[in-house]
Amino acid sequence: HQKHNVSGMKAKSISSLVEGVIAKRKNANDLVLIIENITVTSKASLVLEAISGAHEIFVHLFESDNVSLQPDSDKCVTTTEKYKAWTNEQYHSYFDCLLACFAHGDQSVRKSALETCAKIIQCYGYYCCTSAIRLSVPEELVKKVTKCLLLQNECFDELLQLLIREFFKYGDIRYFVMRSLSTILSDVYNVDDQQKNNCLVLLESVTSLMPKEDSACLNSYILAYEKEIRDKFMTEPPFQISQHRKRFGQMWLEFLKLPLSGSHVKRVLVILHASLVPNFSQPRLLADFLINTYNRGGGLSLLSLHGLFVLMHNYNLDYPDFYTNLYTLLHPRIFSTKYKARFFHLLDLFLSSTHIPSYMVAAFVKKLSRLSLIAPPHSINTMVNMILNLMRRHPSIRHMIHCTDKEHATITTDPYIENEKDPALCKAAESSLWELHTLKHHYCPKIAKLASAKSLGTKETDIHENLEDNYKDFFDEVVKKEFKEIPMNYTQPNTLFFGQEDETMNLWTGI
Amino acid sequence: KKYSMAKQKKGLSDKVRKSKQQKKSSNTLDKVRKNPFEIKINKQKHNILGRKTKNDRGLPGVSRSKANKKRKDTLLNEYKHRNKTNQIRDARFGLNDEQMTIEEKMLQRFSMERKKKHEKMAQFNLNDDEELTHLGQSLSAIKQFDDFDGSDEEDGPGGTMSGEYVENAHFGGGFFTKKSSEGNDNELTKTRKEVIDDIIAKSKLAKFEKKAAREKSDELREKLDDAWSDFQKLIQPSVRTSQDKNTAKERSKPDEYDMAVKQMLFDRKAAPSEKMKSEAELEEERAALLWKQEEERIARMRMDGGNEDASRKRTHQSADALEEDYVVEKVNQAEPLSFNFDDEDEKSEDYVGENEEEEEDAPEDQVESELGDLGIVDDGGDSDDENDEDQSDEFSDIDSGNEEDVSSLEEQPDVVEDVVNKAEEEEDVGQNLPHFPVPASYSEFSFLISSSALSASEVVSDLRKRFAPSIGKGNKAKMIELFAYIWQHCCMVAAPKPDFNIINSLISHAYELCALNPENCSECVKERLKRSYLSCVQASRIQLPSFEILIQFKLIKLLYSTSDFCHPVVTPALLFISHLLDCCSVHTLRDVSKGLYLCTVAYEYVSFSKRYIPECLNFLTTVLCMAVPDKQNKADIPTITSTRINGKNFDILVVKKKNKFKENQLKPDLSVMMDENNDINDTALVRCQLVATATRLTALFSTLYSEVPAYDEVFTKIHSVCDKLKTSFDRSNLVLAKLVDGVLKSIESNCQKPRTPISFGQRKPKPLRMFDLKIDDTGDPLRKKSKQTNALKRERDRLLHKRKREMKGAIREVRKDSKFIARHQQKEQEAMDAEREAKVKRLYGLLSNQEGEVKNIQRKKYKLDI
Repeated sequence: HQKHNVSGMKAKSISSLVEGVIAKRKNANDLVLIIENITVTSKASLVLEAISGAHEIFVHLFESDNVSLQPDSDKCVTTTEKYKAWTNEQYHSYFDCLLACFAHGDQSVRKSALETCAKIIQCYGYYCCTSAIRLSVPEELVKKVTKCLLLQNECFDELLQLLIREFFKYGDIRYFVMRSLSTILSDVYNVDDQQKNNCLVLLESVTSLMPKEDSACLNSYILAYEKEIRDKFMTEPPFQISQHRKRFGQMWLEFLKLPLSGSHVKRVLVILHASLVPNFSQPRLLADFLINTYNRGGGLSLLSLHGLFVLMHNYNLDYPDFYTNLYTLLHPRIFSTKYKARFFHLLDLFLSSTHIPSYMVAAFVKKLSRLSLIAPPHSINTMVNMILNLMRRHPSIRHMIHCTDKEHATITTDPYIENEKDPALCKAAESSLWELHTLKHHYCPKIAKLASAKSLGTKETDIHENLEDNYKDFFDEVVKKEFKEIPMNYTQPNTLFFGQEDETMNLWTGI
Repeated sequence: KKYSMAKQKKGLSDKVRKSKQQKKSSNTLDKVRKNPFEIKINKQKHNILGRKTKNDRGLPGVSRSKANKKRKDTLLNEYKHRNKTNQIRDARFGLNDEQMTIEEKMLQRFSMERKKKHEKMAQFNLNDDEELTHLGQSLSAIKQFDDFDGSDEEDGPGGTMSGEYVENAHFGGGFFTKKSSEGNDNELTKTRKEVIDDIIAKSKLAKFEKKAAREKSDELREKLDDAWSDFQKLIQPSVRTSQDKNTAKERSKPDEYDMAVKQMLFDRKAAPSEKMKSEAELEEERAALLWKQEEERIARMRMDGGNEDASRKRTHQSADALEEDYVVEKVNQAEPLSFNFDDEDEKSEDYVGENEEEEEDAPEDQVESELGDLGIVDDGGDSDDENDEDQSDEFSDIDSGNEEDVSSLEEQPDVVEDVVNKAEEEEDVGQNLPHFPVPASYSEFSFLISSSALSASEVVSDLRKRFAPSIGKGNKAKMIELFAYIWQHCCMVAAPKPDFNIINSLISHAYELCALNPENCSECVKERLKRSYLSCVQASRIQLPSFEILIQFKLIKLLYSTSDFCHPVVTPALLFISHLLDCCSVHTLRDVSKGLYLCTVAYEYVSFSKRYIPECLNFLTTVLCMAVPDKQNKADIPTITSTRINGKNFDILVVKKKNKFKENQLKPDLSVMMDENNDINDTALVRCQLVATATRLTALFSTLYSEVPAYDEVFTKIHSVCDKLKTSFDRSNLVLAKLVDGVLKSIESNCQKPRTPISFGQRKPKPLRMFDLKIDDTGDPLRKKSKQTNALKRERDRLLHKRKREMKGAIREVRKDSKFIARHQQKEQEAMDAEREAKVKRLYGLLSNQEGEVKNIQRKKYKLDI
């Protein structure tokens, strides 16, 4: 009789039902009716009313100790115990209904559902903690929420943002989300792009909120209102930065194991050295991911090399192929890529050590000078400056630019092997930088001047000022320059073509 | 008297004793000085002649006793008064008042004292307000000396009584005079009263006379004062008034003779007219000029042309440098094509200006002759004696179409007017040109050209003639505007379908106008170039622009010297070209043809200077690569072009079918290729034409860069592409195959040239810097000089040294002081001890006496008792 009444239920009747349930235990079965209203298809107002009503009832039940925290239905003997087990069951079904409501059409319902979920976790956790010695938190509930938000095909972006905004400031929430994330990700196989995107959003926000010291994780959500209880559990893992880091590393590594798209990898790599590495308890575990990414090529390999460099530099990673890989990245296509400035910046950074073997530096220098033969002027500027800096840094290869040995026989071909991938075998050190002499004749006065430097000097040029230059900067520079005079041809032209030094007539007709 | 004698005696004995003492003391001092045991001789390390030594010997005993005495006077006193703390407080009036002078202070103090005294006395004084008077006047009033005037008369002879009177009256006179007066009866009869009256009357009379004389002299003086102002004018140095000036001016105006002389001085001397040059001489001159211009061009092409010489200044020249590296500073010769027409300024000239002009004449003549060589004759009214017929001849030249600018150094406006009138007359009579003004905007200009019956060139030449800068004041600016319009017009007619005839007719105008004012015209060109650059570059994907923009490069090439190392217009243009070539997308045959056209222009730019343009070679490689058929294999595409060749454009130039085009057919038609209205027909012929052009251009660049050190590296990729291209053309078109083969041959011939490792070159060892003798003529040469060069530091060191020495001395003094005090204290102690001992001794004596007495008594008693 009550069941077919469900659909016709009014908000008002729900409030009266709630009052009834709170007033007398025998009305408890009405709880089921209320929970049944919380569905995706129901009307928004009704669902909202039902959610708040049910929450009110459960809070009342928790306060009057009518919910069993460790439900074990076999052991239930007395009616009170049975009742308690039943309420616990209802409580879980209520939670499931709330999760289902994440897909509700109305925004306020979605928001309310998430907030109520959080409250339930808080309430449940709080009552668990009051009775227990160790910190016991309804982890499965947290996991459920996280899984629901991440692994649905629908986009829960708005809810994710809400979660991040409202609840990620609490250390314990972050801790449990990280724990659940790593388990979720290790369990799941087929993850589509949208889900990965959700994961990444969550991961990024967690990363940005990673604490720097212990005191920063003390903020608790579950134990927000009871200071004494909170102080009791202060030594538990959720409040320790080392534990946070452990979970954080686990979570990221699980995520990076997934097959990721280029854009996702790029997002990871961009924050890798600044945010990820310092928060890892064992950053060297990232090396596998980075090496795999390097093999994908393009801008990703550059970024991954940067990550590897950070690991090598700060965390003693041993990666002998590093410079060989970097060498293969020197390719004409870098001039047309967007990450050109970053590439040269990193190249300068990687080659800044004075302990690189000289054959390696020679190979880089030779390769750079080869590339400068086909590069646009702004890149030539950067590369030539870099070459000169390397020469200053490594006196052992100075013979490439300034050969004092008179007996050096004249040769007809350059001993350098351009297509050799291994810098150790390319014979760059035997070569000389004829390319620089060629650039003396470059049409751009700035380059010509740079290439015809009369000596090396000792002061290194800072290449970073001009990394972002392009044709336009060069153009503007020349246009702005003041000239004393403007030389003209001394012969007067009478026709457009056929004048002196005119080749058009030899190559074209119809003039 | 006895007393005084005694006193005297005593004083005398004192004196004697004193002198004796003095003698004694000086004697002792002498004795001491002579006593070798008293003298301490300070040894000298080095004996220096002529140096007066001050401290070579000392008297330690004397100085010690001196110091001791001084201590006794000062330190001992202090020591004795050490616990006495009383003080005298000076509370006199005005002691601390800085404002008051000493006199005022004394006065005040005195008056205060008096007042105090007076107050004490006044209590007994009964007539307080009594005033002292003299002759009924208050003394205080008299004392003010108000009627004091003419003090200098006071001592004069008038103030005293006559000598006679004095003789008689004072002291009763001497005996002889008395005798003589006794002889005079009148005198005798006079009683004493009469005498007194007489005296009074005389003295009154004398007083009156004196007064009268004074009044008279006062009057005279006043008169003199009045007359002084008139007289003053006569004696003071003459001051010129404006009126004086005018009169002086009028008087000193140069007369006609002077004027004539001066004018003749500054007049232009009759310069010898230049000799008529023979044909051979003219030819020679022309050749020399060309040679010079070519040399200048080459100098500009070099990187260090001109600039470095100026910047490198000789900072130091050694005295020993024998001018081996003396470099004659290059004098900047006037540019043959620099036109500096300051016609407006030259009209307001005075004599001096003319004089200057004479000096300038020579170069101007030179310029003119050069212009004449170039066909830009302008002599409009340069010399005074030029007659009208000459001018009309000139202008008939103009009419006949030979462009010229009538802009030069006008000196006399009336001649100019003549010129204008003449020109206008001729216009009216001859061609009857419409009188249109210089257009205010480009749209007006283009309308003018399109509406006029004349050709564009004729319109422009007419405008230039009528608004020549020499004629009117604002014409210079108008000519610049005109240049801008011509420039824009040249660009405009290039698109959508290029009309080369109009450009051909306008190009010489543009050149001449630009030559008139290169700075401003180049600014126009640059501005347009900048705008087109921005319009091309702003798009994220750069497309090759229309011919309207591309034609600019060719026009720039025609106007400016493109071989320069750095040129305000050419360098930006080259950067523009290479940006387009580097970043443009190549999807259609039109893109290819535009790119090839750009390569052609770029080649023309650098054909003389042989500058390296990688973008051109990259583009040509790309184009050639597009022509290679069957490049499925990625390895076939060189790495440079791999980013530009894609699925869309990889075969737009591929020619597969066999054909037999002739070599003269294999040139693309520029106007067709650039015609935006009609699409290019994608025929095998066009493809072949474009490939042929690319090949020819490659060959050109290959020969151009044959001297480049890294030739092999630059051309290997092109070689490999050409290799493939040749194999494909061997099947389709033999003419093309031959062309490609030419490129291959050219590359192979230039390849594998012997090369030596690069170096910065042997640098001359830097000579040691030679210094002149540094002569320091101040100070003692033997004195040890401080090595410090810094005066401040030296001074500081000196002071530190001084302080150290002073410190030592002070410590020594303090030690001596304390020793002295200790000695004194010991003396005191000894004295006290001695006193006490004496007292004790006395007491003991007393006591022993007493005891002795007691014993005596006792003994006596005992004796008695017994």
